[in-house]
Formats: sequence, structure tokens, C-alpha cells
Amino acid sequence: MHTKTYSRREFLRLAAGSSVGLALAACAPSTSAPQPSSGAAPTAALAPTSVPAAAKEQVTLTFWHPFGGSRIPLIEKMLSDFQAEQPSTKVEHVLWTGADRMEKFIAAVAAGTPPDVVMFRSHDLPAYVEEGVFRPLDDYISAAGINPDELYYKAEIGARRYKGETYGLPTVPAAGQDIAYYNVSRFEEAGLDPERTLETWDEWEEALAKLVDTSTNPPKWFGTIDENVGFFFNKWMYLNGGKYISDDLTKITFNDERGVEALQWMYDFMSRQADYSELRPSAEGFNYVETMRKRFATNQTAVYISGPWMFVQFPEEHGVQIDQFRIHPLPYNSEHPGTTAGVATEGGWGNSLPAGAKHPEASWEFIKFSCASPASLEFTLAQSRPNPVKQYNEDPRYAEANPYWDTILKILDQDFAIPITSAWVEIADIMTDAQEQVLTGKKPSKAALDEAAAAAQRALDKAG
Amino acid sequence: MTTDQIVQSRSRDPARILRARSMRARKALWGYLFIAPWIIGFLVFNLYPILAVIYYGFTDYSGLKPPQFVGLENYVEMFRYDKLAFKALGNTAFYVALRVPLHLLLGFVAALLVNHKLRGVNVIRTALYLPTIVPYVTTVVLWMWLLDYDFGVLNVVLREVGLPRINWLGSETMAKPSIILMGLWQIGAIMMIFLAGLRSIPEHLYEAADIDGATSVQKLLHITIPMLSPVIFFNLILDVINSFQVFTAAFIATNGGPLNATLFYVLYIYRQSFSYLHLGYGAAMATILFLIVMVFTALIFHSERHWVFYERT
Repeated sequence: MHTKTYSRREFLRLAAGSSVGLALAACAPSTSAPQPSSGAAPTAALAPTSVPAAAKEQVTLTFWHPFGGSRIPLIEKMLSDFQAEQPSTKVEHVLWTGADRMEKFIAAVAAGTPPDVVMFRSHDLPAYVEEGVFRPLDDYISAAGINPDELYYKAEIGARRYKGETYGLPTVPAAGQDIAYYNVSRFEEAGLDPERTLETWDEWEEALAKLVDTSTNPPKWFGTIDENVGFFFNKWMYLNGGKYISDDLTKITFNDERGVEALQWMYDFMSRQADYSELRPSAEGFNYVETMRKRFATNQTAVYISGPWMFVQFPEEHGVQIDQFRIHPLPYNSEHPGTTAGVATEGGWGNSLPAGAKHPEASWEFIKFSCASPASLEFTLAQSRPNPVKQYNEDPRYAEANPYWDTILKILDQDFAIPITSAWVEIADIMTDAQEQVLTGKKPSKAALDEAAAAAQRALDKAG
Repeated sequence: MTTDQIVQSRSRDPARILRARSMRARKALWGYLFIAPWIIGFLVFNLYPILAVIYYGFTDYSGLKPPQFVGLENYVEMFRYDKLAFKALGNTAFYVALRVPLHLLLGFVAALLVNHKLRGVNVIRTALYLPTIVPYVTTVVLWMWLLDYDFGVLNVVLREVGLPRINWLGSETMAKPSIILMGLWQIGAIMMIFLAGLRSIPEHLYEAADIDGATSVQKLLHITIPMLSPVIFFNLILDVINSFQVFTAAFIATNGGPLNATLFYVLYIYRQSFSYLHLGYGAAMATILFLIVMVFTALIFHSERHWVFYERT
């Protein structure tokens, strides 16, 4: 019998050669779809009772959403309330979170098994609409007698429209995510009144001069003005009367006079405090956010920009009680006539209907229930965050729990949605790079933005 | 008739030849049947994806609509316009150049350490291997805390001894070395391969060296390293391939920042493919990476005869 023996040399060569193939194949990221979370079980326990089986087809919907942690019970409560109202429809929820969530969604759509309803970021919508992934809701909205422009804040419904059609209803507000939290003790220490809104860029600059003290260890700073990584240049540009794109959505304009001025202002504002890398000591990982919050909590910074979720997170996670801060809108550049307060938002979370959903009627019923019924109020109220439906924010429980509720309502009302194209995500990354190059002193504003605009225009043209 | 003649005549017998061939074929068939699961797995999960990636590289493909053939457009785009792709390639080359030798060296030193029959060596071996079985994401998150600028242990220690803090993950110069540092922690797997190699070196070589009065360094240089060179070669290839695919640490800790200092090539492929829905372009980039890794692997194989020693038996 012939037997082939392998020397150590041959074996190692074979093993190494095989590994080349295996490892190279591993270049392709995995595309497994998420599994239903264990939290789906309680909804399954609710059996339909009020409607006879023959009367309506029994359907089960899958609902993908990114709200984990303490919000899972709120989602489950919403689902059980929905089933009580619509006994023939059971909704199983799937926690769809993590940085690779889009990869999972693409895999599910490509496999022909998209969720029946998905909570989707509105700035991601246009690219997927162009690929035929979502179904417009306008016919359903009309049939239901809903007037979305009356029901929702302009930033909310505006962010979910693309090319004149509505692709989802908002679940949590896109507006009001950029609130300036003033540190009361730091303001008072500097002789400033934390109750008074610093409305303009000039007023912020005056406050900056009083709030920064680099003689202490650790130094005391005003704080950074780009908390939500990447999109802040865009926000400050709109607060300077600029735009990132022309009205017909064909030409990139963020490198015009207003854009350059806004980015230069950001650089000047930050560099009057310290070196940028010291102000922002981590890159985009979650450490960055944690560091910034700890600095605010330990009185190292005087201003922290974030969303309304900090009403809960500051007291619970950082020991900063609600009377230790005040909230105010971001300032605008009053030097340019016509420029007003109000932050440009590219959108927030909303429930959308994938084109491949197997039960579109039932899916729409759930979207309507979760985004335009009192159930959505309970969902946001329990999180102490405002609701995208205007009238729900009049609920007295909000004002009772939050002494700054009037400010929140004012911010919600003045914020607005910017037009989003299908190349937005790439354009936003390009703008982020330009912003970082300027803030770290690598390039002057004009040069960085001109270069970025060329790249962004190319991305826009390619997207068609 | 001599014995040789008998054997020769039998070997020319057609019926006997046919029987022998049929037996060989049957044995081969059984052999293929036994390795069929691996072959099928390789064809379906390795070869097909590789070929598909090469094909998609010539298409405009989002992953959601059928691909459209565009010829070399993706490659032209990359080589002519995409500065970030080359930045990512440069970052990856830096990572490979630093991480591979350091990783091999640490793995080798760790294997030498745990190869001694000392008390508690099993505990040390387990401790060194433990990071390998901890999910890498967890490891990265742990490192993020250790490297935190304000509150991380490393900076607290630096501050205590009067040294300036280091902006590990937030500065353009330190972010890449920090990611390399994270990658060095997991030496368990190559340590075990080195250890297996060390254990297979015949003891009599060391005994002979002892009789000749060789020092420990001389034994290391003239016995251990040459005898271990096939294992070093094996680990080198694996490490080069793995290092070119660096992704997780940068994806979690820095998302490519600051200033794209940790934008590694696979992270950029991922961003193009799944953030921008340019799967076709991402596939073209992946094909380029495939070729680069193939070239490096071929070069390492080519260099083998100059430095890898195989004992002849």
C-alpha cells in the first residue's frame, strides 16, 4: 500500500498555503442577520382574544429597532398595547444595534427577508430609497386622514421626506438633539448668569474669555463645540446662514464664504482654549463621549452639547443633578442678516416600511400606532425625551418632570431639517475630515473646504 | 525463470494492472469522500466568495440591486481619485511592518518562558493564553479604558511618576501605535505554536552543545532558532495575512480617526461597502488587497530557502 508521508517542511507549507486562502476569504465581512431578541417572548404570550380567527388573518410582524437597555421594556409595552388593540397582529421585536447594523440590514434585504417595520435613521433613508428598499407611506397617510405637517414638528417630518415622498414616521425627535447644557457652578464662578441664554456667537466668545482658566490643574475650559462627531461643522455653518448644498441638490456649497467663515470660527473658538487634541482626547470611540461627560461632571468644562437624554443620563450615570445645569439653544451668528437660531438636523429615528415587507397593511398599522398614537407618547415620556408629535409635548407630566421644558419646546420648534441626498453619508464623512484637518491646524479653512467640496461633488455626481 | 523475471511478468499482466488501478481508484475515492466536507466547504465558503469578490470588483453594485458591469471603472476611480484608499494602504503597511515582528518576538519570548519546567509555569501559560480566548471586542474596549486620556490607568501611572500624559487614541502620532499595542496583547496562539516547536527540538542537540561548553545564548542562536525556523516561517505567514486584515480595534476604538490615522484598508473597504453602499468598489479594493497579500506571501515563500532550516532525517 502506497502511503504519502509529509515532512515537517511539506506540512508547514501546506498549512500556510491553506491559511492564505482561508484568511483572504475572511476579508469579506460576515452578513448574518440578527436574531430575535429574547425580549420577544412576553409579546408572544399575549394571545388574540377579541377578534375571531376567521375575521382577520393572523399575522406576525418583525420589528427591528436600535433601542436596547432600559428601553426594551418600553418597546415591549408598546407591542403588547398594540396587540391589545390589534389582536390579529403579533409583533416580534429584534434589537438591531451596533456599528454593523447596516450590514445586517443589507443582508436581510438582499436575502428577501427584510423586517416588516424597521426603525431607520432618516439621513440613511435616501440611499436606500434609491435602491428601492422602502415603500412611500403617503397613500396610507392620506387614507388615515393624517396631516403630518400639522401633527409633527417641521424638522421631524421634513427629515423623512425624500423627492416629495414620505418614507416613515418619526419615533423620537430629530430636532432638539443639540442642546447647550450650562454648568451652573462654573458659570457662577465666572460671574455669568446660567439662566440667561447666550444667543449669539459674540456672546459665546465673551463667555469663553471668562470661563477658560488654564492656570489650574486640570485646566478649566469652556468645552468643545463638536460633541456629535462629524456633523458639527454643518450645524455651525447653518447657524452662520450657510448651506451644504444648493437648493436643487446638484451643487456642493459648503466651501462658500459662509462655510469657510463658520469653520474658521470653530477653529478660533477652540484654539482659544487649548490644543485641539487635548480638548478632544479620543477619536470617535465611545471613550470620547464618556470623557466629555466626565469633564462636565467634574466641573472641568462649562458647556456640554448633547440631546435631551442627558436629563436622565447626567443624574443617573454621572451624578450631575438637574439643578446643577441649565439648558439653552445653540447661538447663531447675528452679523448676517436673516440668520436665525435653530439647528440644522439631518434627522433622527423613525419607523419605515421596507418594500419587501410581507404584510404592508399590518406594518402600516403598527407604524401608525408607534408614531402617531398615545402609545408613542408613553414611550418617549418614560425616557424623559420629547415626542415628535407636537401636541403630545403639551402633556403636563413633561413639564412637571422637567423644569426646562419650555426651552425644549422652543428648540423643537426652531430646529429644521436639511435636504438629504443619497450621497449624504459619504458627504458627511468628507465634511468631517475637513473639519478635523482645520481644527487640528493641519490646513486653513478655505483650502480644506475646497478640497473636500471637490470630493463631495464627485460623490454627489456619482450618486446621480 | 528468476525471481525478477517472475515479478516483471506479473507486473505486465493486464488483468493484474486493471485490478491494481481499480483498487487505487477505490482508495482515492474513499479518500476524497473523507475530505469532501472540507473541499465542499472550501469551494462554497472560500473559493466562491473570492471569485464573487473579483467579479463584483468590475461592477457597480450596492448589494441591494443586481450588479451592473462597469469594467475597470472601480479600479480607475481608486487609482486616480481616491486619496483615502492610499492613506488607508499606508496605515496598513505601517501596522504590518511594526506589528508582525513585535508579535512574533513576543510570542517567541513567551514560548521560551513557559517552556521551562518551573513551579507555576502552567499558571503563567494560562495567563498568557487567556487574552486569545477573550472576544477581541472585549479586549479592545478594555484597552480603550486603559488608554483613556483623562482617566486611563496608563496615564494615571505616567502622571504619578511626573511624566506628561499621552494622548494614546486621540493624537495622530500615537493612535496607530496604540492600535498595534492592542494587537500585541493576543500572543497566546503563536506562543502555543512556538511552544510545540520548542518541544519537538531533540534534547540530544542541547546535550551535545552542553558537552561542548556552549552558553545559553549560543544554544539559542545555533540550535533553538534554526530548529524553530519552520515554525517562525509558518507564524510569519499567518501574522502577515492577519495583520493586513486589521479591522476590529480601529472599527471600535477610533473609527479610523483621528485624521484618518487609523483608517486601515479593510476598515475603508467596510466603510465603502456598507456605509456608502459601494459594494462593487469595496470588492475592487478587496481584490487589490488579495493581490497584495498574495505577493507578500509569495515573497516570504521565495525567501524560505535562505533562512528556514529543515532537519533531514
